[in-house]
Formats: sequence, C-alpha cells, structure tokens
Amino acid sequence: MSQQEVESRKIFITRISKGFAGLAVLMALPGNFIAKTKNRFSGIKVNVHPNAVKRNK
Amino acid sequence: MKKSVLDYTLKIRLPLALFVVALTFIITFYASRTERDGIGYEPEQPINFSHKLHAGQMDIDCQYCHTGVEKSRHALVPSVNICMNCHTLAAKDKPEIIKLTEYYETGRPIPWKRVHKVPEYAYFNHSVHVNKGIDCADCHGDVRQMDVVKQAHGWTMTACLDCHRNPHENISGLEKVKNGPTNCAACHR
Amino acid sequence: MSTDKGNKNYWKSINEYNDDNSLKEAKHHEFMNGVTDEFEPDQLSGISRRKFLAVLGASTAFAATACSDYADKGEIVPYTKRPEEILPGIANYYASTCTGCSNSCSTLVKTREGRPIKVDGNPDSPINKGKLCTKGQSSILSLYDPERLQEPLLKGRKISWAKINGEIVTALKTASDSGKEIAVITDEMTSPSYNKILNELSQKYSTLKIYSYKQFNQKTRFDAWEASFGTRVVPSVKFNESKIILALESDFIGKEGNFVENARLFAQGKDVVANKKMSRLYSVEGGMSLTGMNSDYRLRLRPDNQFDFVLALIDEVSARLNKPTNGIPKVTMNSFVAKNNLNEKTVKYLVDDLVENIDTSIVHAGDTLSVELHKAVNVLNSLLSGNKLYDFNNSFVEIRKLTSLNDLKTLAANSELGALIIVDSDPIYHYPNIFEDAFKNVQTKIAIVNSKNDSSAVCDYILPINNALESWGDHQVRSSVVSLQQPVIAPIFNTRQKEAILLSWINDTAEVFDSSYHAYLQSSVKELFYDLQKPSADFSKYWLSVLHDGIIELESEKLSGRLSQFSLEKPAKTTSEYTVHIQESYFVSDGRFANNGWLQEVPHPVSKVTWDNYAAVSPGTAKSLEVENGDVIKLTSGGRVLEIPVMLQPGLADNHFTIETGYGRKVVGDVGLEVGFNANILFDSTFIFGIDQVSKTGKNYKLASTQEHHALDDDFVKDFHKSRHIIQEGTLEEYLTNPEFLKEHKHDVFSITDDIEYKGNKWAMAIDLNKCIGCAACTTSCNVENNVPVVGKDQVENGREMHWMRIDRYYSGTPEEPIPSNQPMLCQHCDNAPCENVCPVNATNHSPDGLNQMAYNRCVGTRYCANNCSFKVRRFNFFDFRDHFENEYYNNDLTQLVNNPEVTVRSRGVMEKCTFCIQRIMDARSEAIKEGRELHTDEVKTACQVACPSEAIVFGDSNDPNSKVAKMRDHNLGYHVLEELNVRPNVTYIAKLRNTHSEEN
Repeated sequence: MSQQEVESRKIFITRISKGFAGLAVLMALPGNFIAKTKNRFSGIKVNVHPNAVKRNK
Repeated sequence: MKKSVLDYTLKIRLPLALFVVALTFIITFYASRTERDGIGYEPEQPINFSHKLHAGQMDIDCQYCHTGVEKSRHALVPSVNICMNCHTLAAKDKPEIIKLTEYYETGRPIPWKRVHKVPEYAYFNHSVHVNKGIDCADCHGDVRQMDVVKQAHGWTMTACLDCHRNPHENISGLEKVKNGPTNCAACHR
Repeated sequence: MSTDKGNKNYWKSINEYNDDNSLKEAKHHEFMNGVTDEFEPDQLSGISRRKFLAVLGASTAFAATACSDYADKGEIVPYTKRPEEILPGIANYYASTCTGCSNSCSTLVKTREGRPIKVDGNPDSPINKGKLCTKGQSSILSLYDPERLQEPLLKGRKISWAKINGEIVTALKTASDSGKEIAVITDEMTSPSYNKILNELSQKYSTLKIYSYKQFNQKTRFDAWEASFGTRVVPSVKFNESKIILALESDFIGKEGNFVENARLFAQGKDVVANKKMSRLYSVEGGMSLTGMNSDYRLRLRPDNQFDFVLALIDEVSARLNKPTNGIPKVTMNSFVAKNNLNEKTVKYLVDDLVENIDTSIVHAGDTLSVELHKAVNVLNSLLSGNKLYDFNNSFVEIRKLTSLNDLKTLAANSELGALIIVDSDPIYHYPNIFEDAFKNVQTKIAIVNSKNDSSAVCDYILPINNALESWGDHQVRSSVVSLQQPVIAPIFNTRQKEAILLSWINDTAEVFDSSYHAYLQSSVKELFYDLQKPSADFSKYWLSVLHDGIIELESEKLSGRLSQFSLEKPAKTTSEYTVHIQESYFVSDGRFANNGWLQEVPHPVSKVTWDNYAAVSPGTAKSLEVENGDVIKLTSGGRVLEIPVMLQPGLADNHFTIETGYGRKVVGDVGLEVGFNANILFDSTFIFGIDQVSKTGKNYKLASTQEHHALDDDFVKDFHKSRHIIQEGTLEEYLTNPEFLKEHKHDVFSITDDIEYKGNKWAMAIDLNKCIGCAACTTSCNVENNVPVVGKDQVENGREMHWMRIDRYYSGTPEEPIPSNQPMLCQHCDNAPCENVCPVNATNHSPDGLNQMAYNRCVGTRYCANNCSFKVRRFNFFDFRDHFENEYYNNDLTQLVNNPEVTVRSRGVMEKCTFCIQRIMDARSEAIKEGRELHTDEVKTACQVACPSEAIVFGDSNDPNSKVAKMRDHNLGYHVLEELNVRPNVTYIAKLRNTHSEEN
C-alpha cells in the first residue's frame, strides 16, 4: 500500500469512529429537553350532583 | 498487479459496509431495548411512596388501594383520601406525609409518574384478567419488594400474546383458564 | 469538431466560421477572463460546505433524540377525594327526562366519570318503553356546546347573579306598580311544578300575564275534542290494534304526538314475523312524510282539499253503514274523486276497508289541519270504531292551555308593555311577522335562555339556564305517567335553573340557588302525587325511589267520550293556484337544535338532504315551472316574500310546496349560522295557505343530499334496487299463499375456498324491514355511541359524511306515485369479506366470533377496502374532522367530554366502519367473567338496537338456535343483500311485505 493509501485509510477510520462516538453520546443523553408529554387535563370541572339518585341499567 | 476497482469494492468496501451496518443494528437494538419494551423504567415519583413498606412489610392487600382492578377496566391509582385513611394519624410528621397532607388539604391531585402503560389504541381490561385468577405479580413483577416501582416485564404486544397463547406455562396456578383471545378486536377496538 | 464526409459543419458565429484565433484561445478557458479575479478562497467564511452539512445533520439528530424522554409515559392523576358514586371505568345510569319536545319522554342517561355520554329511553316508562327519538339521542351535544351561555349578561357585559337579580326585581316592581303589563312568554307547559311557580309569580305581580306557546302543537286536536266531547283530555290511539289506519296529513310516525310510542305501536301491527297478519295504512297527504313512506296505499291530495275529502268519506261511510248524520255539509265521493284526480280504485279500497273493518278502523288527522276538520274526523270515527281504538288510560293532558295566535298578536300590539320576560323560547324567530320590532320600546327585556337566539338578541338582561341534563323537574303530558328529571351532572357553568330564577323573584332573594327549586319540587311532588297516592313509605324514601325509577305511575280517571251533536262550518277555500304547507323539521325541530351538528347532518328521512331546508315540489309542477333541483324560487303570499331553493320530491301533490322551518336562524352558534332559509317569514296564521305568486330568481343553490341518485329519472338505474335484489318485497297475500316466494329467485352460490367453521359465539344482526320506518334514530344513536364526527356541508357534498349506519331510500313506481323503500345499511360483517382480502397491511380481518375487525393503528389509509366493499359502508377520515369542521368548533375542552371513552376517537387517514358495538360486546363479556358465568348473548344490545323505536333491529348469536337472530336468519322472508356475490353477510333483512290487494300485482 502506498503512503497515500495508508493516510486516506487512517482518515477514513478516524471519521467512522468519530461518527460512532457521536452516536453513542447522543443515545446516552437523558431526554426531556424540549417537549413534555401533553397534559390532557382540561380546565372544565365536572361534578356529580349530590342529590341525584343513580340506578342500574 | 494493479487491483481493479471491482476487486477493491468486493473485497474491502462491501464487507466493511456490511460490518458497519450489522454493528450499528446490533448496538441500536440492545441500546434501545428499554425504550422498546420498557423493562427497567423506574421514574422518580412526587411522593416517595414505598411499596416495600406498605405492601411488603405491612402486607396491605393490593386491592385495598387499587380498588378498580376487580370491577373495572382500569386498576386505578388510589385517590388521596385512601392514603389519608391511615395517614391522618400514622407517621403524620414525616416529611413525605406532610407533603401528602398538603395535597389532600389543598385539593390538588398528586401527579404520579406513570410506570406501566398499555398504548392508547389498545384497550386493556384489568377486571377480566383478575377475575380469571391472574395474580398482580405475574405481570407487574414482585412489587412488594420494590421501594420505587419499576417495570419488571416487557409491555409489548408480543409479551401479551406470549401469555395469551400459552397461559399455563407463563403463569402458575391457573387451572381452568383457556387461551386468551388473540383476535384484533379483543384489545384494538 | 472534425467534419466527416457527409456531415455538416455547425458554427455559432462568424468568428467561429472564420476560425478566429482569439475565439480558439477563449474556448480553452472555462470562464471568461477576469470573472474569477475577485474570488479569494481565504475570504470565505470559516465553515466549509462540508462542515456546515455535518453540523446540520448532527443538530437534527441531536434534536430528534433529545425531543422527549423516550421512556416517559406521562402522568397518572387520580382523584383527591373520589366521589362515592364514581368508579372510573364503570358507567352510572340515571333516570331523567328529555325536554327536546313536549312529549317529555323519560330517559336513562349513561354517565362516565361524572359526565353524561349517552341518552337513551327509560325502559321503565310505559309510554316510550326504553326508546328515544333522533332529537333526544343527539340532545346530549347541546350540553357540551361551546357557545352555550355561561354567565349572566347585562347589555353584553358579564354580571353577577345577585346584581342582575336586584335590578330585575326593581324593574318588575316598577312595571307592576305603574299598572303596565309584564308579559312572560314561555314554551309549552309540561311541568306541573313550573306551572305552579308561574301562577305564584302572577299572584305576586298582579299585571303579569303568561303566554305559553309552541309553534307546532296539538292545540287543534284539543280544541276539536273539547267541541266534540266536552273535555280537554285527548286519548291516545291504539295503533297496534287497528287494522285499517287512515292518516290524513298525519305524520303520526314521524313527528306528531308521541311519535316514538306511535312507531312502536304501529310496528306491532306490522309484525308479520310474529303474527302473520298486518295492518293496512292509507295515507292521504300533500307532501311526502315519513308516515306516507310507510303506507300501503297513498293518495296525493292538496291539504286545502282535505276537509271536503273527510266530508265525502262521511257521506260514503254513513250511506254504506246506514247511519245518517245531520248537520254535516254534503260532498259526494264520486264528484270529489273526479275533481281531484284521485285513483278511483284506491278510494274504493279505502271505503270498503273502513266499512268492512268497522271496529278496527281509525282515522287520524294531522296537527296542522283545522279544528273543523278534526271535528269532522271525530264524527267519522264515531261512525266507525267509536271509542274502541282510543286509549283513555293514557290520554294526553294539558298542564296549561296554549296561548292562541290572536292573543300573541294582541301582545305584540300592546305599546304599553312594562316588561318582557322570554323564558326558554324564541317568539321573534317563530313569528317574525307578529313580533318584528314589537318590543322596541319596552324598557325591561329579560331573556332566560340556554343559548343565544333571535329573541335574546333584543333583550338587555340575559340569564343563562341549565341544560336539561343539569336540571330538576317533573313532567306530566299523559294522564298515567309523571316523568321526573334530575341533574346527572352539576352545572358546568354559572347557570341556574329557570324555575329557581323565578323563585328568587317570588321570594325576593338576590342570589339564585338551584337548591331552592329542588326543595320546591319535592314539596310540589308531595302535594300533587304523594298525598294522593298515599304509599306506605315516608316521603324521603318515596322521593328517592321515584328519582331512581324516573317515573311515577298514576291511576287515571277512566274517561270516555260521547259525541255531542254539533254542526260543522266549511272553511274558506283558497283560490290560489299554488299552496304551501309549513311543517316542523324532523331533526332541527322548530329551530331549537339548529346549532347541533349531529342533527343538522342526519339526512332528512325522505329527501336525504342535510344542512338545509328547501321547498319540496312535485316533478310535474317543477316541469311546468321550469325549475330543477336547487333553483331558487321566490314565493309571495299576502305581502310576505321568501326565496328558497326547490327540491323535486316524487310523490308530492301537484301545485303544492312543502317547506320545513327551523332553519335560517339569524342569531345562533357557528354551526347553525347561515344554514337554510327561514320559512317563518311566510307564515301568517295557518300552516296551510295559498301562494299569490311563484317566480324564478335564476339563482341556483346547491343542496347537499346523501342520496343524490334520483333512481326514477335515469332509465339505466331505474328499479336497480329491485333487479339486483337489494330490496326484496312482496305483498302479504303473496306471502300467506306462498310463504317461500322469496326463495324462488335465490341464487345457488358456491365458494372455491374451504368454509371456516365458527364455533362458539357468532354475532349476527337481523333487521325487519316491515318494522323499520326510516326515522334514523339508529343513525344518531350510533353517532353518539361511537364518537362519529360532524363533517359539514361541503364534505357531505363530496359524499364524505361519516355515518356508520345509514338509511338507504329507494323509489320504485313512477315519479308521481312512487313506492318508497327504506333499508338501514351498515357494515354487514361479511364472513367472506371483500374488504379483508385487500388490505395491504392487514388492518382489517375477521374475528373468531364473526365480526369484521378494524385495527385503527395499523391502517395506513390505502382505501382499498372501501373500494372493494360491495355495500360502500366504510367511511374514510379524509380530514381530522375535529380540526376541519367549522374552524375546530368541536375541538375544545368542553365538547370532547361527550366522547365515549370506550371507543377510539379516529384521526385523519384511518378507515372506520360499524363494529357491531364491540365495546358493548366486550363490556358484557367482562361482566360475565366478573360474575363467573357464561355470556348471555341476548344481553348484548347494540346502540342502534337500543334506539330503534319499532324494535326492527335484532342482534345476537346466530350459532345459538334459540336466539331471535337465528330464527330470523332462517326465516322464509329473510334475505341478504347482494347474496349472489357470496360475501356471506351477517346481517339478514326481513323482506318488506306491503298489505296491498292482490289484483295490483
């Protein structure tokens, strides 16, 4: 192998390993930065009427 | 002799590319395991409730607090007034209990972090499973030994179907139970 | 550049041709000299292109993975103090009353986690027996209407109850002290307790006058009964025991009287599967009504000629029976038939039938006809069955006599009105010609209403009232039953009970408390019913028990009628060439449901038009007027003008228009705004009147109909439904002589694949077309149960209405004398489903218990299944209709509470269809497992089955030979639609038999 080929292979391997390292860093990061799970609690208050009498079907 | 381009491609590039793809896949598969089936998820809760103390040491039945599990589709996280059944007096000066009492007095509901969740397009029915004799620990793991609730088993459709297809092997103590339904409409209405 | 022998030499300029040297030099450089002189690589930005792309990719990846905690499953939030009645996941049921119309049917309301999600009839009620009409089913959406009034308003500004009440009481006192009239305009009175409160109010303020009106009412029937029999208690009709029914402009199945009860009784008379005999319904009308669609014989007669028709009938019948009548003007039948071009044979059959079945014939006249005509019908009935078909145990009673139109006109003319109080009504919309500008100078105008309407728009004080589901009440419209109303949910907004508001004025309290009416109601019920019945329990137990049941059954006085002698006046005949008949809308009623998207979108039972009203006209008249569907015409009558589009309706009488009101409200929520045309402008004093002038305006208005195909005009599709055996019909005589007549054209179908065995439950449905009247209660019940979205008029025009169940209406015969057929169409859950084979992602397949399943999360929206469905019952969500309809009108915190939590709310891009109420099946299965027993398949009732007033739908296990469904499946009259395709549908239809004479066929 010529010197040029060795050099280019070195660069190639360095870049691949940098890529993997970056991927590993990303996956290890804890989340929860941007979007929180949507809170579906609405502001409407719903109450049962205390004097109503329920029954079976 | 000078190697041709095709030679180079087949001998070096192709196996290298395949190796990279395989390695990425394997790493991602195992690294994302938790995300995919949720095993090991152990979030921090707003109040440090210990199942090990209440359900394990004090041996309080699961159904004392999780009241809906035999009657309704949902197992129900207990409402604060169930806690206050005991904690108006018991350990009432501990810091966690003070937090609890504050929630009760102000009427704010406690935002527990959900650990076990079947996706919303599937309609899971607790009462059917409980009434057929399946124990809580069969799916939720040994909660009595957990200080913080952790998801012990996988929660994917495969996990459910494995049991539906073969209940006797997966769960001990079931006698007269036949295979659970495996048709779509049983869960995916 | 070399030129070969024979090749041409190409050159672009003279220089090139001359092989110019400088040109040759220039061609060697890629760029012209000097172009790149100013380019300095060092002066470029530090980031190279490569680096920039790398950063871009990395940041996207970073953002994507960091977007959420992938394991986060949200929060689970329980109650702080769980109300004792609520167990999340289990539904609670309450008995209450529907106030959609004056029938006040008793209801059973299903609530989940404290909010009502479904309203059905109360099975304990002897009147509606567990059934509720289309309007009642959909009325639940009014509770969750985002444009409901939420706070008291004074001149548009929010104000507290105490303050507004203080001002009102002062104003009322001023008006009363100065001797000026205080007018209270309210709806038809159905509540004895509310009536008591109004009486007490009129005692407190001596100048208070009460005007109780309803646009479409039974007043003429009551007045005629009083004139004929001396009482104002009108019996109901035993349609189930009648063999011959003659309906004169009477839509007793569709919208008159208690049509839910009438439908049930009528269907009992048509139950050929159980009884092997049927009643015969003759319908004589000018427009095409639901009753007309279900009649065996139909005569088209303009309503202004009805009176003469009744006189002619009296003449014929009294002659045939030899029972002469005095004081009745004489009209001979032969001359009448000739003058009005009626079918002689049908009239002959009619008279013969009435005379031969004297004890089981009933003549029923419609509410919109005159008092004189009703009196004549009373005479006719006395000649026939007398009192035998009248049910006096269950008569209609009046809590308060309705105000006449003349009294309303006097009110409008009163310029010395001190105060106007409009309670739960809309007089300015209903009677624009009477009340337009009538109240301009009234100082104090108060509106006590649920949501804004044309009348509240002129009022300064607007007091919002509770929805029916948040209210207490008692209702008595029949002599044997009192229906109680209780709140199934505490008032969501700052509204109050209308009776509580009036009580606060009586008692001079500033703050209004609903509990005051709760206490008042209890004492009123005690006084009116408990003290009379004297049960052994004490009152508090009694109160709880009647609230539980929802009804109080009373012993009614056994009244009967003896016809007194009287004379009839012939009314003035209209001389106009055209007449018009103003009618109540089937679904929007008199306008109160205009803001209800579900009701606007349910197709009209006859014309299948949605989101609009129109002037129905016969095809013959349309041809002579040279108008087509959608052409806007101008109708003028006595100076009143209305522009309205025309709809060609087969079966209409010639030179006659029928128009439904309830549309064209100017002040209404966004759903009902600019929907339809206000026909109340044309109304003067009667519902049937002459038109002075009909002219074309040249405009065209698109009417959105779900069944555009007028199968009568196109020769190719004419009678398609008969030739393809989609509708299989026969006559009763044919069936009785040859019970297997239907099997004669059955195809021999075979499969090339092996049949799958279904062991265990196999769900199937049977629909009896003899009983189905086409009322669409099943459609609306399915809508409510399954969270079916409202799509709006533009989407209905594209054929994208989302109803899982629809009523197909076919015509056969001629456009003048059509024979309509109704057929409810829903997913047939075919065993050999054409839709299941073609799904590329296997989102739809067949369950072991015979259902065609649909997994919404797997569907990618290819729409191949809908393409392949032979019945076209699959509906695709082209949009997320909650976002798409009317600017997200129904996509708000309040309306989403109406959704059934057991059914998925579908988003854009998924296919949906009837699921045979799988959620109810699973619920029943879960109950059975809870109780440790087998599932009783008869206890599973689909939403459509529960709602059908005539019990036409039967659902159950077809593998169980004892079930009703299995018996209907094997019945001689049972057939499947498109059987020859071998799709093996699980819905069996029982063929409709018409009770016509055999000479016809």
